[in-house]
Amino acid sequence: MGFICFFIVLWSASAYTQDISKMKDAFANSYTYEKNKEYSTAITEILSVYNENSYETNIRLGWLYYENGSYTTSAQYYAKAIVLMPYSIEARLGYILPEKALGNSDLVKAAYEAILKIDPQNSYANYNLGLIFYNNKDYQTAYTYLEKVVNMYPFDYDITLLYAWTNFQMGKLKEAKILFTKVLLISPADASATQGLSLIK
Amino acid sequence: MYRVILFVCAITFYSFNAYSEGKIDFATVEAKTTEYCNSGKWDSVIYIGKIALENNIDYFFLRKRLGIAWFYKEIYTNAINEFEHALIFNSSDIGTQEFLYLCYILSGREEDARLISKEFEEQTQKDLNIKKNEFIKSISFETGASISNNFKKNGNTNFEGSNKIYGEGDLTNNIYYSHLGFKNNIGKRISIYYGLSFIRDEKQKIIQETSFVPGGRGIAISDTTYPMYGHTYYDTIYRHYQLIKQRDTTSKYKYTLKQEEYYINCNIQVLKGFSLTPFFHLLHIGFTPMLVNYSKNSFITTDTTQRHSQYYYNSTQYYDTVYASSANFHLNSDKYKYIKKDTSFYNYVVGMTLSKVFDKYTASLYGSYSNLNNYYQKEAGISLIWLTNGNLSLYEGLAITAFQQNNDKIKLISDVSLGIKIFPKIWLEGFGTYGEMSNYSEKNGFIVNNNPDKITFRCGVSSIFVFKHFDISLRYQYQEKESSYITYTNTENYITQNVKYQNHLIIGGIKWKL
Repeated sequence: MGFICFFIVLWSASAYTQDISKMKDAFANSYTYEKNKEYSTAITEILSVYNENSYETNIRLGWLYYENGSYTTSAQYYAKAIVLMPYSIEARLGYILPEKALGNSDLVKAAYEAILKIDPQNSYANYNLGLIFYNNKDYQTAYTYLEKVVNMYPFDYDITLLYAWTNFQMGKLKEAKILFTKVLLISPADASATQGLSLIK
Repeated sequence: MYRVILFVCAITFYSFNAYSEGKIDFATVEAKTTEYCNSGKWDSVIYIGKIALENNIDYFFLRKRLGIAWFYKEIYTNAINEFEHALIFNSSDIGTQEFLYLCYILSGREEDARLISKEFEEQTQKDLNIKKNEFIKSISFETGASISNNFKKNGNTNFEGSNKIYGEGDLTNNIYYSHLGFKNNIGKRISIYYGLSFIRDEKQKIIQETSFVPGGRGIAISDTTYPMYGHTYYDTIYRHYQLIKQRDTTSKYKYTLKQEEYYINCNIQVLKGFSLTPFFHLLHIGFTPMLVNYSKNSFITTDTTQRHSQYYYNSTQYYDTVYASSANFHLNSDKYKYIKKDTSFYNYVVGMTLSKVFDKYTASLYGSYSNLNNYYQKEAGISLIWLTNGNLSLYEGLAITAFQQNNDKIKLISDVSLGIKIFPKIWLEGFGTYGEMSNYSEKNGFIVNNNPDKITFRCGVSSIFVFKHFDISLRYQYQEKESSYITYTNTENYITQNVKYQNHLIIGGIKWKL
């Protein structure tokens, strides 16, 4: 009986080693094909070792399908990766890529909000949510997200400029003027900041 | 060159084969739907879109293109489904919102259109010609008459019957109607309709009675001969007595029933496609009916008898004597007293309707409670309206209502309707209703059939002219009606009998859209 168990363990260990080896090869090949923009072949490599319970294969397929322009399939693989690793921010950021391309902006917004539940200080999610709300003309909500991120990155061009415009739209002209002037310190000939200042005058 | 042609053919065949097998990838869906949408090949957009959805490819732009395809094919119910789906992916897309708004308007869902339009930006509202502060949405006025043959047909009916005791009927002839209503919007979810109606009923009470009344005095003369004490007496008796005669009378009394009605309903758009409508209708009815009070009239009469006696004591000579006597008697006669009585009272109908839209179908559940003509009524029903072509070019409706008055047996009333767009701005609607309608309310309690006469069948046709600032409607309705009268079979008991007649209702209306 002990003899049989020994062989089973040995066989399993051998199979696992073979699987890992196969996976390593598949991933390595997929990087090569991706570099050559042969996305379909890269996908085929990963699919050959695909395991639906593997976070790595799902997130890799999500990215490759996105690169291949197969956005709906990409989003499906990213969604599987999120289910496998619910606290994964990278999977959610990946998921946002195809959804953005598909024009599913409500799903994008929901994904950013989910990121902020895991990591409330995430600057990328805060900035992008601020941008979404700014574009939807909900300046008050945009302000709350941008205020958070501008304190973390006070000398970032994109953040400062968007925060300046948000202040302008909310009628906080004094603050907007200071912020547009600050943008000109980061990018001295910036057209958007100059336009903002001319509107205040 | 041949190789190129062969290659193109192979690709086309492959693509066709892939579609026909029902397999497709995202890139093809995106490319094809964009191409077909841009070239206005709506059937192709729909074909590719369906295959894409079957293959689990579902995203904002696909749904939007599908919506646009259905929109241009004028199948608005399908377009609504796609646009609503697209907005789940991207709720802030203005183009999709505009299309959805138009689809709601073109499929008759104005309340849903208003619900989403409140979220539109100022420019979008301007583009779609949506008024910003439309507190008063519309003003409606309608007037008409129900022309009846009841007086003509049943005015000379023998209500007494063969028993010749008593009979009475209360006939309704022409009915005149006018209504003024307003529709107000409150916020984005609530609209209130309230109105005032005036109704005038031409009425006639007909009373037929056969009564026994004093008919003057009569004299009876009789001669008698009889022996007494060996002689012969010759008497002539004069009797004066009271006469009772039978009188057959028919009285016709015309009067007018006036009715003022106050109506309100409140449409609450709880969710998109789901509304709740409570309603209340108050009726004030006033008229001066002729009431008949019957009594037995008992009186004392005196009969007087004179006896003129002649007694012959030989062949030529006689004694002549006169005797008089009198006696009192009790006699009964019938007495009918006619009394005009001012009568007025309030009746009401209260209820609620729940409506839900499912694609082409709008299902409604409704219930009401009313107090009409001293009876209590309960109604519960279900109605279904469906847009056969997914737009307002052809629509059909079916409604079944269970009706109970007091604790009587429950009656079913069914209604079928059909509407057709016959010209770009003209609709023709027809309907038929089966079942006994008396003290029956309908159309969210707006119409109250509180005339005691039953409608046993009705059908009608309406034409509706829709213009930019106003709608005009012209409605005709044929009604089979039944009126009842009473006939006494003896002095204590009576039976109720029915007479039939027909009404032709013609109503013209105008609605200003402000």
